[in-house]
Amino acid sequence: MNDQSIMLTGFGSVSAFGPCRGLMACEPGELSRITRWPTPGPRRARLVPAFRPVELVPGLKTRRIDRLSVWGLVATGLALQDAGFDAGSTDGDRMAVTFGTAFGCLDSTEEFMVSIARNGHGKADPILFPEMLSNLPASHVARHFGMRGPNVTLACGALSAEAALAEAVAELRGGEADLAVVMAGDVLSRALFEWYEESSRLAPACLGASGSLMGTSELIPGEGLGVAVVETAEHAASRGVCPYAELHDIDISPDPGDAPLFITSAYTGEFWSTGILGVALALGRLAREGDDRFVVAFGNGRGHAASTITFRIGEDFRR
Amino acid sequence: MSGRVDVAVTGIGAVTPYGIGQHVLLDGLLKSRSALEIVEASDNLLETRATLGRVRADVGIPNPPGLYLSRTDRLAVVAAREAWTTAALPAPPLDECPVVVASTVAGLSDVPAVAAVDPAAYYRAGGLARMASYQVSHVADAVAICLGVRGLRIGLSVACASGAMAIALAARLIAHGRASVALAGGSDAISGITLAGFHSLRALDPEPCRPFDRSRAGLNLGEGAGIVVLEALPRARARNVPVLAILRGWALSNDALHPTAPDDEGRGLAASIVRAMERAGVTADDVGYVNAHGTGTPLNDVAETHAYERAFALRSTPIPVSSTKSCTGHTLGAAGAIEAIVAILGLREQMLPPTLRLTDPIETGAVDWVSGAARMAAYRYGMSVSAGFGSSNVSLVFERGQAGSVQ
Repeated sequence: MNDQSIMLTGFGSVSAFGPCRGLMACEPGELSRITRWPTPGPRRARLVPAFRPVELVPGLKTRRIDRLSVWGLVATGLALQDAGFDAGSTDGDRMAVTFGTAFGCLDSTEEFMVSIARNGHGKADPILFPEMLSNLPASHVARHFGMRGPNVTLACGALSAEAALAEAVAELRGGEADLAVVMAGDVLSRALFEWYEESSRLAPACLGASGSLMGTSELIPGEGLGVAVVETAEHAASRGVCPYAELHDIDISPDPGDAPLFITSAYTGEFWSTGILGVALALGRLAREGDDRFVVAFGNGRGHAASTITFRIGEDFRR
Repeated sequence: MSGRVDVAVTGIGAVTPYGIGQHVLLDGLLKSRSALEIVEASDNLLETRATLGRVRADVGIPNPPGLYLSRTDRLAVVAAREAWTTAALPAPPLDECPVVVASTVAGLSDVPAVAAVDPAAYYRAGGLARMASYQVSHVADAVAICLGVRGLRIGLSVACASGAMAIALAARLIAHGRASVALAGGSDAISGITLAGFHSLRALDPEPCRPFDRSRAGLNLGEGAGIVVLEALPRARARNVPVLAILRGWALSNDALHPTAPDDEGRGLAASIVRAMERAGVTADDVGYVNAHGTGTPLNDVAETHAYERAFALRSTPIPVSSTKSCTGHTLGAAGAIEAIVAILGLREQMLPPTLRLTDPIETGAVDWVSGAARMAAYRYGMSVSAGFGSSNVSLVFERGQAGSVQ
């Protein structure tokens, strides 16, 4: 450990497994039937089940906020709880939010477009418009938790989560913040699902066919959002929190080498920005198995690259 | 904290409502000419009078194989090509040149609202490829593919602070030794979606906007792209190319208050200005000009004025400030990058571009409003500040480069 060391101290998520605080030790379940929009027949994907945000994060107000923003608020609340974060322990100016998303707030965007198509450009819904902006989830988190440091939303396709994590590390190592909330996620919307379907990319199971889901090469769309709390080693030590792991490296390369692979989308469905959930799942499974070594999360990098995230898990770290 | 490597600006490219190129932008600013146009209801999706900053020049580029280029993509590619040429970079392919490009609407500029009513029908009617350009990351992809550069491609979307933030993030890559050269900036085309959105918020002034004027009534939407080539200063010197400016400082902050309204005291924006000056190692007295965010909306301009009062409180004379959105309109995700280029051009030419139509400014003793016409002045450091929905603020501090050539 040195003064550039970055610690992972908390996780929160909202995924097909529902809201979750801490690491995840889940097995893939059945696909859910899509009911949010009319479909020509049974259509299935890995969908986030309904839940009540205020039961998880007291005081949360989510009325007329985009679904992705709601997940960001809930997952951040859970991650901060998991990190043992005390709101008074850190100057808000020294807390950053980085957010990775491939598509942003699709629900609000599509709803806003439908309102224009039906009512005309001059009679659009003023509440929906700001909610469709990609950076609003990170903005809501900053507002609710008083985080006044850098607030960055990155869109890098399937590497969006990794980009958000790398941005947070750069901010921490560059002295711009002491603690960062790293969020990454995407929703599955009608326009996106139908784009996959019209492109003939969907696994048969999504179109009503039965059969094994594991190992399929076709796409099973998913949705969700993961949050990691990362902080400098010095800041984590000052709070007396025991980290899950020390972040070792984030690399984008076509070849992950012989490090163990963790295919996140097999658990969560494919939603591009799965990287943070992948870290929570991979760490959770290895922790459960008592393995003590580097962990690698592996993502699809738009056909020409892959992400390799490596960690050090020490004997004195959390399990 | 100071960067480990100084960051030079060696190339700039701009597509603005003035036309294609930094030279038409500079000419328009020097002549204090507005590029805005009044669009009557019959020629406008809003079906009401509007003032817009539209790019009339041809930005037609053939689609590369397998790639649909949206208007936002095309604006970015044209600006990036100019920046590349200005920097006298070798002919691509060039390895390891990160591309960091911001946008708010990206390919949504080319998608009609009706596509969301029945997406499958829209795709079957030919919209499949068009929708593939939807992602914000697609703009960086388009620039990298069309210019033939390899390396990281980073898309960024932080509302109206996007373009400036892209420059800050690329600068950090260079300062920390992760890259030696990078393309960075922002691009946005006018779209029906953004027109409808700002209209719904009652944020549009149907007449040409009046930033910082007490009678201001809103903003005018514009479109365009601004791309800069950032380069490690030692690399630029080794290539013996003109250094247009040195990006000495940058800082990001967030008000953490409201999705669309700024902190009315301007605290977050002031914090970013102060931190950027600290990083640059300059004092408030060293800065000779600030290109403001200056949208012309009632809330933004008063909050921004308070930010200048806070950030430049120790200054011995009022800080010269102007908003060139009065010339180009508000180009959203491109604005921070285009205005950074304006700040660089101002430094190079030792010129302060004006705020047009500013005749009755917000009262403050802290600001020297540059209004009406461009003003010539000798100064070494210039700033560009940006803010956006979601409460993000970005400040950039540039030092005049050795390529200054007063015309």
